[in-house]
Amino acid sequence: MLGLGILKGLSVTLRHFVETYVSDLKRFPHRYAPQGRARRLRPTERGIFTVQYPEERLEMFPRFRGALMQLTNPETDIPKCTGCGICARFCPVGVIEVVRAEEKRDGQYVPQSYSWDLSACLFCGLCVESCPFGALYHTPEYELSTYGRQKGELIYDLDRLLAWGQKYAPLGTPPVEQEE
Amino acid sequence: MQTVETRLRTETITLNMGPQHPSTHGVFRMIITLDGETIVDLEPVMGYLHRCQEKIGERNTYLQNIPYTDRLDYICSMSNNLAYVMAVEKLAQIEVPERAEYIRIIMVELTRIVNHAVAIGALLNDLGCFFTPMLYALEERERILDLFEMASGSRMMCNYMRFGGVRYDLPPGFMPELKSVVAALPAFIDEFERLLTDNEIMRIRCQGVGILPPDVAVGYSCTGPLLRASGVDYDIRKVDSYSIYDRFDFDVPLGTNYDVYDRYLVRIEEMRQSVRILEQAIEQIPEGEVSVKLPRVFKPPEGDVYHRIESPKGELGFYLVSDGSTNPYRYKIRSPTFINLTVLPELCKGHKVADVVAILGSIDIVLGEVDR
Ligand code: SF4
Ligand code: SF4
Repeated sequence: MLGLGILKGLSVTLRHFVETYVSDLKRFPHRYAPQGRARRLRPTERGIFTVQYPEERLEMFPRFRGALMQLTNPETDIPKCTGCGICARFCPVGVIEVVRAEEKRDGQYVPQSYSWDLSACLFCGLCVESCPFGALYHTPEYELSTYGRQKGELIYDLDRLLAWGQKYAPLGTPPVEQEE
Repeated sequence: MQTVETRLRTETITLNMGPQHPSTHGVFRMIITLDGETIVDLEPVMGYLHRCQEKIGERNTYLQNIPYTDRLDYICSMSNNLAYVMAVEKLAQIEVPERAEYIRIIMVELTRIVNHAVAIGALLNDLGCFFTPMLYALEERERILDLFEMASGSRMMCNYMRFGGVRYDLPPGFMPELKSVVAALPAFIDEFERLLTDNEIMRIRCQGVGILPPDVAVGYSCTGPLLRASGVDYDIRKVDSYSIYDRFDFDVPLGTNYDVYDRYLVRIEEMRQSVRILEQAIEQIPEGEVSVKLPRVFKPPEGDVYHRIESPKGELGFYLVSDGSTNPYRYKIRSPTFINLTVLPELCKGHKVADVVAILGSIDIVLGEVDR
């Protein structure tokens, strides 16, 4: 019969529509309550599974490649980075610039300046992968829009990267550390 | 009708479709010559998204090219990674550990499901069935992309494969998640089929439209689902088996009517076959190393190499010439959609304007790969 296929298709959309509401009513608490979120993310769950973004945020996976951060050596309180510039050489678009300081501090080379230009970064992670001193890592930070592209906005200097590091280092930086 | 047409002398008109058109899947322009509603000629204009990928590839070191391959066909970054990495491995004769091979196959077959789901969703979008099938497809894709993010750190620009293996081993919690996603996939495909396969409107729009006979398809070097929907049994996973595809049991679906509808059916069936491969891979995956140690400054020996894989869209090949230095001397990409697209004028002639979007959607192009 002509039209049977359309009806069959419509039954699918209708079921999706009904499930959106029914599966929510069936189980209290509400889908958008904090406890409801874990349930919403399960692959077996029917109905809506979107995250209401500004109000709710997904937790990033530990390997998530977000903004970069520079770690500080907790014992000596100076940056772990030695300014060797290997990350800058591995970067495919050349958005990292490093200058090594003339003098050592506490017997370790330190960078005089370090800048990371977010506007052209691919977030590929090759810089993190290449750093031999374990100084450079990704943060789970992804809300990085700014109103300008100058220094202090899209161009990050060492201090800002170290500040990210202070914030996120306690959380641990699992994947690369295990391997190196 | 016949008499009116012969009595009235009409002129053809030229119509520009694109470069900014919702159904051209990006920035792509078609210059269509029309006689009334019928297409007399069609000229595809490409290159709006040209980014000098090949020239950049010669500037980059071998390793630095991997993130760039992600950006060719941005829906299937994993299979682009695989094609490039395997080409370099062939050049430098690097052995890949067993576990890494399985991880690669899992990732690439998941990519195939993502790509076909999106391709069908986009085809239906073009036909005027706005967003319902597309969103059902995207819902499933989202779960798979979560798996990619878990393993590689990024949803779409995965940058996961490395010469001689993969970047990291699978994270804890990946396998159970993968199993539940794979277990849910057949139900999703069934539902997709129930929604679309018998739908009369879709059948009327797709059946008998854009017929591509096997000899023409071969003549234009079409590959992938487009070629198989034309009834040519040619799947590189079978005919020129690479990696460990010879260990898996799967079928190659073929079309019988060579039209848009057949391309849709072939894609649906390929998704089912991918699920089969995934199930076998999950069962067989061994423990062990996932990468081999390479020197930090990687220099393959002199020579040239071509390696091709069956990417979800067709034959994706990389041709590399090495002069023994850190960068490739020549870096050439054989992209499947660019070559599949050349057959578009042939498919469209004689059809109506409204059919162009259906035919274009059934070829399944991504402009990032067409223009490179
Ligand atoms: S993530 Fe990639 S593009 Fe960005 S700074 Fe690091 S190496 Fe360069
Ligand atoms: S971040 Fe690492 S690779 Fe980059 S300059 Fe500092 S120590 Fe060297």
